[in-house]
Amino acid sequence: MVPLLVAVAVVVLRRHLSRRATWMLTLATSAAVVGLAATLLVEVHGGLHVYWFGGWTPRHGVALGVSFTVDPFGVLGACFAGLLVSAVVLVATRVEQFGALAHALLLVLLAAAVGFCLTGDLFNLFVFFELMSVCTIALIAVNTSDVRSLRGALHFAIVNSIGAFFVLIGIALLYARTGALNLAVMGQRLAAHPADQLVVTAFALIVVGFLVKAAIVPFHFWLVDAATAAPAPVAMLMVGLLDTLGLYAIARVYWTVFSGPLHAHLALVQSVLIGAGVATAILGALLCLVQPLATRRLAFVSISHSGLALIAIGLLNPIGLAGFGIYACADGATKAALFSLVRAPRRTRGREPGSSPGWHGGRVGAALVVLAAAGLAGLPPGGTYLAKGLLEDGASGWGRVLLGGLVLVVSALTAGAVLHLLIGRRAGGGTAPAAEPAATGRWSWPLLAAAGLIGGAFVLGVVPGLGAHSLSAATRFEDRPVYAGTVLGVPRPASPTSREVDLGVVPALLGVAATAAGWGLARYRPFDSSRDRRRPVGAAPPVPLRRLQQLHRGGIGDSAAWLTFGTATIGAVLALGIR
Amino acid sequence: MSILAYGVAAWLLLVGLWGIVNSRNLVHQVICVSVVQASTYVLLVAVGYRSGAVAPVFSGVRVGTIAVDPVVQALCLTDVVVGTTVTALLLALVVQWHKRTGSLDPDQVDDLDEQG
Repeated sequence: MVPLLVAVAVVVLRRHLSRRATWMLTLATSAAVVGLAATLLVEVHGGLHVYWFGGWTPRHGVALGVSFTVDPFGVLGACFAGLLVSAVVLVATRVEQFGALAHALLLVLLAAAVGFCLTGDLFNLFVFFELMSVCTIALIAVNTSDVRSLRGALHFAIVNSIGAFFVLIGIALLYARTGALNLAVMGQRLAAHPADQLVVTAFALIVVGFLVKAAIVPFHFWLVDAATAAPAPVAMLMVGLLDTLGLYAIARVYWTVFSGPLHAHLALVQSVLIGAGVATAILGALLCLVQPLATRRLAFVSISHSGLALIAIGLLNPIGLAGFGIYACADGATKAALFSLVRAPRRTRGREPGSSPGWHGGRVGAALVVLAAAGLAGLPPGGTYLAKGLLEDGASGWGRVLLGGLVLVVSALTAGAVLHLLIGRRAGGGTAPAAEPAATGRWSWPLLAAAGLIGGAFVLGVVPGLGAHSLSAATRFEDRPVYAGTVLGVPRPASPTSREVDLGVVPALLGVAATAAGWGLARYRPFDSSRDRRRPVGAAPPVPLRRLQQLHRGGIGDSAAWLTFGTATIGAVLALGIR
Repeated sequence: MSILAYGVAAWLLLVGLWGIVNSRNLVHQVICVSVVQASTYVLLVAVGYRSGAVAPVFSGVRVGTIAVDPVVQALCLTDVVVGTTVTALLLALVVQWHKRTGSLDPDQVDDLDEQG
C-alpha cells in the first residue's frame, strides 16, 4: 500500500518536486518497504500468517474472501524486491529520461511485486503479474526516441501478454473444476481426485505462462531484445526481479495447488522442469560467448543462470527450494549489479564495437565487475556458492555428478564471458581509458548501489545458519496440508524439521574451479572476435553456434511461434505422461 | 451451447496466435493480442454459465432462483480492464514507432541488435 500512495503523490506533485527530491522520496519509500518486509520476516519466522481483506474469513472450509498468505519465502521475495528497487533508484540517477513519472511507475511495480509475493489468491497472482508487466513495458520504452527500446518494449509486451493469457486460461480451467480461487482451497479440492487431462492442461498453461516471465528456453527471446535495449535500471529489474518472481510463482503454484494430484507423477514433472532448466543453462552459456555486444551478452548470462535456478526448483524437494531461495537473491543481485556497471552501447559512427570503455566507474567499477564475475561462478564464501552447494545436495546418485558438472561448466562459461568484457577491452581497446571522463572514477550513487548489491550477495553466503533456516522454511513451503489448514483456520501442527546444512568441501572446490576456469577462459577465449580485427564480428563462432545465433535475430512473430511450439511440447509431454 | 463456447474460445486463441506469428504490421499484431485475450473472456464466461439461470442480480427475483456464477464475471471484468491497459500502451508504443521509423513493419530494424 505504501508505495502505491507515494506513487500517486509523486505523480500529483511532479511539477513541484525537484528531480533530486523525487528520487529521494522514491528511495525512502522502497527502503521503507524493505524495513517493513524485514519486520514481517522476523514475525512470520515461526510459520504462516494469513490476513483476510475486509474480514471475510472462511466459514466451514469455504473461503469467499481474498487473503494474503504470508510465509518466510514470500516475505524474502518482497524484501529482495524492495532492495533491488532501491538500487535501481540509485542507478537511475544517471539516466536522464527517468523523470517523476518513471519513478511513480517504479513504485507501482514494487507494490505489484510485493503483492505478488504475499498473495494467497491465484487470480490476484495473475493481476499483480500483469501489473508488473505493464509497468515494465512503460519503463523499457521510457526513452521513446530510441527505436530499439521501442522494439524491446513491444516484444516484451506481446510475448508476456500471451504468457499471461495462458496463465489466465489455466486459472479459468481450475476454477471450473474447484469453484475456488484461493490457493489453499484449490489445492485441497484438487487433492481429492487423481490428476486428469483438465488438471494437466491447467498445470501446463500456468507453468508456461510463468516460464515466459522467467525467460526459460524456448520462451527467452523477449529478454534478449528487451534487456539489450532497455535503460540499465530497467534491465536490472528484468533480470533481477521479474525472472526470479516468475520462477517463484511456479514453485508457489506447484506446492500449494498441484502437489496433491501430481504427486503420483513427480518424476515426470521433475524431468520437464529440469529438462527446460538444463537446456536454458547450456544455451545461455554457449551463446553468451559469441555476443559482441556487452548488454546482449549479459542478457544471455542471466538467461543461463535462470536455467540453473529452474533446475533448483525442478528438483521438487526442500533442499532444492532452499537453494533456489538463496540463489535467486544472490544471483539476481549480482546480475542486476552487472547491468548497472556495464555501459550501454553508444551507436557512434566510425567506431568499432568494443573500442569504447565497457563499464562505468573506472578502476572501482572494473574491480566490481571482477567481483561480480566471481559471484556468478560461485566462489566461496559468496551466497551463490552456498546456493549451488544446496542445489547439488538436492540431487542424488548419478544426477548429482551430472548436475555438479553442469553447474561447473555453466558457471565457468558465464563468468568467463563477463570477465572477458574487461580483459578484451584492455587488450584491444588501446586508448579506451583515456576516453573515460575523469569524474566517473569517484564513488557515485550508481556505483555505490552496485557495490551494495554485490557485497550483499557475498554476505548472504556467510550469514550463520542461513542454510538451515531456509531449509526449514522450504520444508514448510512444500507442506500443502499445513498450508491449507492454516489458511482455512484449522491449524495443524507442522512437523518440526531442523537439519544442519553441511556442504562439505566439494562445492567449495567446484566454486574455485569455476572461477579459475572462467578466468582462464577470459584470457584465452576460443572464439574471440576482437582479437583478430580482420575478421568481421560474428564470423568467428563455429557453424552450429552461428545457426543458434541466427535464430535470435527473428522478430516478434518468430518469438510467438517458439512460444506456441514450447507450450505444445510441454503440454504434450505432460499429457502423454499422465494418463 | 457449452461445447460451442469452449470451441469458440479455442478457435480465438489459435487464430490470434496465428495472426501474431504471421503479422507484417504492428497495429495488426497488437489487435491479434486482443483477439487472444478475447478467448479468455469467452472461456471465463462459459465456465460460469448455467443453462436456464438468470443474471446474478438479486433484486426482484425469488429466493432460490438459480443464477450464473458472478465470480467469473468479476474476473472477466478485471481481465477486460487489464486488456484495455495493455492494448492502449501497445498502441501508444506503435505510434511512437511509426513516428521514428515511418513504417509499421515489425521486422524492419531486425539487424540493429547484432551490430552494436
